[in-house]
Amino acid sequence: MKKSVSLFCVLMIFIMLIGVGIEQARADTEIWGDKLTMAGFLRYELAVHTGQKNPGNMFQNNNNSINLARVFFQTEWTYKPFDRFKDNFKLYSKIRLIQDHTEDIDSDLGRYDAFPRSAPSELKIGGNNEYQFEAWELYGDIKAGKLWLRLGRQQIAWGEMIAARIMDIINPLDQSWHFRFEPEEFENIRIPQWAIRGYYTIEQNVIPWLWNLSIEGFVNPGDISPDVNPEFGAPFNLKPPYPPFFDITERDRRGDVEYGLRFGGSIGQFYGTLNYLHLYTDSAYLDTRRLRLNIPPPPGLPPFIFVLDAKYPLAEIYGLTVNYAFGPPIDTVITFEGTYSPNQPYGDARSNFPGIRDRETYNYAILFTRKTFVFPRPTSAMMIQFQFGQTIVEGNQRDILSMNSKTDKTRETVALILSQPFCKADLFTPSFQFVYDCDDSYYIKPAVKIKYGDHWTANIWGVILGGTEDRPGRFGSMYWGDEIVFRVTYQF
Amino acid sequence: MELLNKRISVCIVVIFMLMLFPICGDTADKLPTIEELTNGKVKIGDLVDKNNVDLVKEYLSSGVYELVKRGLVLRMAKQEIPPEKLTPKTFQEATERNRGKAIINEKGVVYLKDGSLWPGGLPFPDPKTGNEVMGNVKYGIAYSDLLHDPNWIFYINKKGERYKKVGQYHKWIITNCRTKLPPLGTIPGYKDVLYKRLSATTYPLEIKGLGQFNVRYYDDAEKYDTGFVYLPAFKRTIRVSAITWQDNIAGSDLIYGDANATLEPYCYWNFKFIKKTYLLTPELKNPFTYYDEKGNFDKRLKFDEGYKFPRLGWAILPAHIVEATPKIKHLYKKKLFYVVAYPYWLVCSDILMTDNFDLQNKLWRVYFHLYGDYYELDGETYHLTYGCLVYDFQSEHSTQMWYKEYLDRGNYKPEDVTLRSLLEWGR
Repeated sequence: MKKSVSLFCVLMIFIMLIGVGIEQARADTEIWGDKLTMAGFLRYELAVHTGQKNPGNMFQNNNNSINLARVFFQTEWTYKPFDRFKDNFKLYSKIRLIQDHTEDIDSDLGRYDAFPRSAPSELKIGGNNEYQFEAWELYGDIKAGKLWLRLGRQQIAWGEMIAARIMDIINPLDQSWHFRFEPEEFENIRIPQWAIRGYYTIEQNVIPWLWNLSIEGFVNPGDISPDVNPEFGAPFNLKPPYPPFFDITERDRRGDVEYGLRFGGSIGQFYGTLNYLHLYTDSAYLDTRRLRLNIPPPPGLPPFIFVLDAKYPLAEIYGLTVNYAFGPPIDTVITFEGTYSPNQPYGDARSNFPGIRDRETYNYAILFTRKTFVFPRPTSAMMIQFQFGQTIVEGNQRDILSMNSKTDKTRETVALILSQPFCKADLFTPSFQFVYDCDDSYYIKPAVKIKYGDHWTANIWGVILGGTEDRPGRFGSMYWGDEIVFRVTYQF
Repeated sequence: MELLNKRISVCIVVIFMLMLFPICGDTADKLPTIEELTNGKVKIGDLVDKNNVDLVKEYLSSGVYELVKRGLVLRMAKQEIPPEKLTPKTFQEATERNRGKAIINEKGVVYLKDGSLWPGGLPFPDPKTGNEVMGNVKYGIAYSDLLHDPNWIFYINKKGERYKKVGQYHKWIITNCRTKLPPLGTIPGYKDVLYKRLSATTYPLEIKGLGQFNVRYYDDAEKYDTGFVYLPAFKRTIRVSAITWQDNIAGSDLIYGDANATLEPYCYWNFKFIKKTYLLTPELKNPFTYYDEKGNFDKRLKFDEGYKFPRLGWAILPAHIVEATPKIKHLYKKKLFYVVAYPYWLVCSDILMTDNFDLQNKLWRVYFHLYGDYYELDGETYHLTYGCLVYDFQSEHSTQMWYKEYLDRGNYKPEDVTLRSLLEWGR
């Protein structure tokens, strides 16, 4: 803990030094005129565990009281080397230093690696089990006429849904530290990958009744890495380690190519995109290669070993987004986002050994968004969002497994998100997020955000999970994850 | 001879009348100064504050009068720029070329008499109705593109402290009524669109990259605005309603409908012409540049009551007063628009100021533009706006927007303000 306090103090002094005599270009701190500018934040985040002991950490004796304790020092650097082309070319990097001292302040937790990521393409500058210093994003933007390109290690998010990942599946997630419980949901956990992304604006005259016409695509030439999950012993660990009679070989897709293409356009107040994604799954699916005899067997173990491959099969995704903004007095936006995959992989339920089966799968959600005045004006409008989502699996669902448990033919969720700023400068914004799995499990996140002046932001939010539906991957299975999170950020 | 004498007498009477009531005639030839209007009681260079404000009360909007009572100090100045130097020549030529050809429908949409789109210039140089005055504001656009960068919104509390700021970047491209940059008139493919605008947030970091792309249609009664927003925290562009006009902009004293004095479609309002008057308004050319391209204030610019009120020069301009009452449920009972009168039409921000009244008909907010910046371009002087000041009398809280304005400098194409722009600005 002392180490973290020291680190926090050192970083604060560093920020104050940066602030001495700075000039601001647009908003960032100028390091080298307006060619090189920087902005960033220093953040402390503490998640107090209010739920039960995590059953996945079977060797943990007592319930832990802390889920997360981290210091973040994140800087964003923008370099525009050419004055003449400063709106056409820039380099950007997000460099961050994170220190995790969760296990230092909670003696009930065992030892674990707080930063288990290790893809070779990561731009790690330094780190160990307790801290990580890395260039999280690094890319260059080039604009040439109607073409815009982004090259480098980047996040690519398609789709429009909040609180659901339907088409936002291009980058893998780092779920090792806080799942999606952050206010930004995926921004801090979506793992950037090396890719080329292009966007081409098509001239208005080409098809007169079609507006905002564009083509967008990306190619990941081989920087493919899977989701990162918490280590055994970490507060958010979801499952016990694999049994010792599993001999698993990772068959990652490093070197394979992922790509996607989408067309966008408006007709009247309709706007939509047609999407195609050629992706490999971010989660592993176990596939049995063979059984190996293990004679004589060690005590308590069977006389054979499962020789397994952890595979990341190809999933082709065809997607559609459509939205429509209703005018007054309805003043509501309806957004649809849906995907169809002819070969979504699942576990094989027909075999006695782990295997993989494909299934046609539909996944969609409809979101209603409306801003309306609930409190007397001049109080700001409340943002109200209601979302319905459904997953449909074709064929006999009894033949397949999802996260090693039975799969339903359909799965439905509803979500309600409310956000209401109060006071001048939106000083105080309570919000409420409720996601209900219609098989009876829920995720509730009440939150308050306080913004004071130019630099300070405080967030307090709670995470409440539960319900009778407790199959893996459902909210009810994480009944133990309840927490209250405190976050203070100083941005500069 | 008798007839001649009679005619001469009539002429003399008419001339005498015109001299007595100069505001009723063409004000182009001689714009009186505040010194002349007050018969020397107030001189150019004098400071007007709460102690002597009654000397100029009849030349102030009710909102500005109340602000002076609260500490705003007005430096009396003279409007010395001839009207023909206030807008590009091409705009003035279009105004004269198209004089008498404009019609306006009951929803405030201006067309030529044959039903085609207004090609540019001021539609109603001598407006007779509130609708015509406001039609001038909407379709008498004298520039072809606009950039505000850097643009700072300052939040100022009761004590006059700037306790928070938000940085923005604005880019507009006008797609109709174009008189300066080619293509003139309507940009091919954009006959339905009046303008496209991009607004991106540059500060604080938490919302840096937040961008909004909006389309305003030529007939905004028929087609309401289209809007998209890029959320940096979600790295995605999502569709939003662009018509929640009564919501606050980032918790400031500005509501979306008050931006640029008014952004709401006219079909929500009834406009009533009140009168033409002389009005003290921030001077159109400052003695020095108040706010530079880096977003820094010149140290010579003074503020009164902390940072509440910049001390500006105020000069006389002719203005039309229009009372606007909403047709829909609204947070305002009415708004008074003070719109500059031709030939002193400005290249941008022609609503000099507004008074906004709450539902009890009490003065709630005042809005006025901060003028005075200028530059030379293609042999013409562009007199620009620095931003605006909005004061909330109920909370004594105010918001100032300061920007560096560039008009007709970007030669933007419609493709420069698109969904892609959101990605470019996003992070």
